[in-house]
Amino acid sequence: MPPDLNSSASKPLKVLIAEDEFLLAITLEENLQEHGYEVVGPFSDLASLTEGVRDADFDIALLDVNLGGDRVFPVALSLIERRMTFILLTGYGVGSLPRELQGVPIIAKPYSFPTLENEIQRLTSLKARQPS
Amino acid sequence: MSQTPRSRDALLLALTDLLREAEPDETLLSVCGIIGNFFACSRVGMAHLKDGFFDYRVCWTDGAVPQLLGRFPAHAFGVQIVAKLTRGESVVVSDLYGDPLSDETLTHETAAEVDTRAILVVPFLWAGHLRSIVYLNSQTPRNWTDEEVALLEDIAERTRRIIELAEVARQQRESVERLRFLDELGREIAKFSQAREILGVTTRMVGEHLGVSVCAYADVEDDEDTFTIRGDWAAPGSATIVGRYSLATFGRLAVQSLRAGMPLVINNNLEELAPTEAQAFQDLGITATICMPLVKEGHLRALMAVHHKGPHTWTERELTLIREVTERSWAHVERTRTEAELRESEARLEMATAAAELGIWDWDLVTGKLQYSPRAKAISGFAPDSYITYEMVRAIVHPEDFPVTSRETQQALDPAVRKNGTYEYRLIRPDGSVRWVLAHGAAVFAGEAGECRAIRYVGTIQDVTESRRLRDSERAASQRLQLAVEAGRMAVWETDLLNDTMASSPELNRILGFASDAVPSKEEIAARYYPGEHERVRELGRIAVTRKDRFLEAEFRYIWASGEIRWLLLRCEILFENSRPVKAVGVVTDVTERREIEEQRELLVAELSHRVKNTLATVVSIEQQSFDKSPSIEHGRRSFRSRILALAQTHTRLAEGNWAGVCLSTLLSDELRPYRQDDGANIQIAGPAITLNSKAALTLGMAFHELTTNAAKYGALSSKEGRLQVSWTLTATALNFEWTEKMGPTVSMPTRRGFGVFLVERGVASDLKGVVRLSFEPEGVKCSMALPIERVRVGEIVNAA
Repeated sequence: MPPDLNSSASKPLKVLIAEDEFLLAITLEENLQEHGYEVVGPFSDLASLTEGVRDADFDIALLDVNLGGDRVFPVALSLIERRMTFILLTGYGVGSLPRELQGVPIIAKPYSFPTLENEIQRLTSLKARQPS
Repeated sequence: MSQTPRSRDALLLALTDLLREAEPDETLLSVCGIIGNFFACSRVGMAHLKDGFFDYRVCWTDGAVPQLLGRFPAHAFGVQIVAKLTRGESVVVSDLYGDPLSDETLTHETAAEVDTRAILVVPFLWAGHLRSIVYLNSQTPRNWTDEEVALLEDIAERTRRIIELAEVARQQRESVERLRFLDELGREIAKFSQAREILGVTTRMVGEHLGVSVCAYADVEDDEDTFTIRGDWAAPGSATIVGRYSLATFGRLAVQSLRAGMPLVINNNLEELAPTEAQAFQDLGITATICMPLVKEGHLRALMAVHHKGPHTWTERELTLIREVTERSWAHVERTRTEAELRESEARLEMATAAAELGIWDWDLVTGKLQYSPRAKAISGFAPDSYITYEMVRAIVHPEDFPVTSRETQQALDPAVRKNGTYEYRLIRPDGSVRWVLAHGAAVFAGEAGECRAIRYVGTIQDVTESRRLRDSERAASQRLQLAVEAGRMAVWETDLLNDTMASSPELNRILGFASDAVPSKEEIAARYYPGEHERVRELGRIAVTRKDRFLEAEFRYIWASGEIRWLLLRCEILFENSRPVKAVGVVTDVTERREIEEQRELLVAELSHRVKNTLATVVSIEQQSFDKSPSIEHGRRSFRSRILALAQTHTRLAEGNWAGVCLSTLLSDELRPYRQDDGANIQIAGPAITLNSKAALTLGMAFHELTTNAAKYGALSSKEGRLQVSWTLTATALNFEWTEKMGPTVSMPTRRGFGVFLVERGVASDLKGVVRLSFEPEGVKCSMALPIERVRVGEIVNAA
């Protein structure tokens, strides 16, 4: 079991998951929970995700680019507007992203969980140091 | 000459002998000599009357007086003398001075001129008309005795035959000589067609033949006074008299004679004309003249003249020759002039018809004769020397076009219609070749209104085969281009860069999404570009022009009136004039479909990449689930491998169907095949045909694998007796699926809900938005799924990944 980076925090980090592939979703959910994260979702379609993003409280969102055939970009853009942290998970190349999303954190599928968690930690600590 | 007879009888005898001789003129001269000697007179001669002139032809003198030869006016000795002779009476004048028959001026003048005082003249009449005379002259007054008068009358009577013969022979000789000359002249002038050449030859030949100093011709102007000698012939030593003159300066005689159509005959102008008039001739180096007028329609038109430097007594022979030559030459000149004019107008017509390649035909409807010009024959394929008949013309008209030519002819010849138009028809030449001709005909009509009918039908034909072929091939080429443009969904793109205007066409309208008959303005065309595209295309054009590129290619989006966005490909050539771009000409093509296919391919490549990545991610998940939740490594490996194989199996089926979908029954059969007993009785699969989309296939494939694995381990497929029934039904909205296990080992509730259960329950529910009920009944596992049809059936949703 890797060191629990989240244990030092008074509250567990809330991670929102948007992933339409059930197997991938539950595997990610399990991995996050095992590492002390609180999971919001997973959301498997754009409609439920849009709702979830609006209503739920979370620290970082992991967004699969393709949600049941829909692109997750509108949600990503709304998160940028709200200065919320997120990571795009994609099987497509970086080049397929719209211009507005070029440069956002992205992790290519398939990924190893440690890679993902490092990125989660980096982004959340970065955000924690920023004046909100 | 024999001795002079002394007696009257001897004289007549001598004359009789002479008259037997052959040569009349010489005979007559001998006769004159004998008479002269016998009568002891100064001159004896004979003359013929012609046209008011005596032509003195035979003359004998005693040597003291000059010979009298040539033409002299009949009245030269006085009007009364001529009148007496004309009555057939002999004239006996003892002295011309003072005789009652004498004329104060004329007679005396002539008498002095010929040095004669007494005359004895005996006339010969022919059919009651004075024809010729025999005369005796005496240098001194002399009283002619009655015997002398009677003797001369007797001699005249006796010599009458020989005189006539001599005259006839002379006339014959002269006429033969004249005719020979005229024939020669005719042959010479026939070589020429120009009036100037003809008159040049005539003057030369006449001048040489008559041995004159000058022979000239002149045109007389409308005032009948001014004349211009355009050409002449001058003997060596004589000067040409070419120039412009006034007839009046040559004397009243000249004016009166010539205007009256009478020749002007002057033997010696110094004697015959007033000094000033003579001077006009003398200034030209002329003393003797015959000038022949040519009077046409009462007007003096032209002159032909022969002149001698010195005095010359013109003979009837010369006068006749000049008269005939003048008449013939002028006639020939007139004819050649007319012919030349005709030739010229024919040449003009020929040039015009040759230029237009027109053949001329002329149909005399009265005689039925048809005339074809050489070109008309050539067009029709007739031999150049062929005689054209109506039947020949009729035979070569193309049978299909005969109604056309027949109708046109009828209407042209109908006095009530008188059609005068052009029409085209085909003719089949005798050699079989087919030619298109353009014909034009007009009829000539004659007769009064009621009786009026066509008498002549004249027209042209023109071979228009080549121009028709050209026209047809142009039309065909244009049609081909049109077809090519339409088939290629192309339109001609022609922009006038100077005026910034564009030629519109139905094809271009179609490509730009306007109504085909619209004439959109340049603003309307510009407004429909997709935002930014017009600027981009113009920029490309600007760059091409700057680089002096000939060709420009641009692909741009354009919005149709319907709102549809189309991709258009423009390929054009920029035309420069003086290194200035003036025009862009090319084609524009609608490439929307190609672009869509390209975009779809890009999408597919991205999609494939996505699926591969997702599949690999799935494999990672399966690995984690299989190993982490297994009691042993070995168990985990087996679970993992079988799950991967099941996943691979579904992928195989999807690949076989080109990722279009997999039949539900196929998916089940594949999964259950290893557990099917030989008789197949343990597994029943029943349900209507349904093709699953790829996502449903992958999800359900995995769920079936979990259910099958569980059944094989613990349930109906783990014993020989166990039965598995799989069935489904379809409604408008759902696929209702039932998995029922029976007669297997008694099922107990699992102590731990493993990955399999989790995958079946939540996976299907999550991925396919279905309702899944999995129950572990004692008699066997039951699983029911109610799945929204749009989630599972192929083609129901756009993207199933």
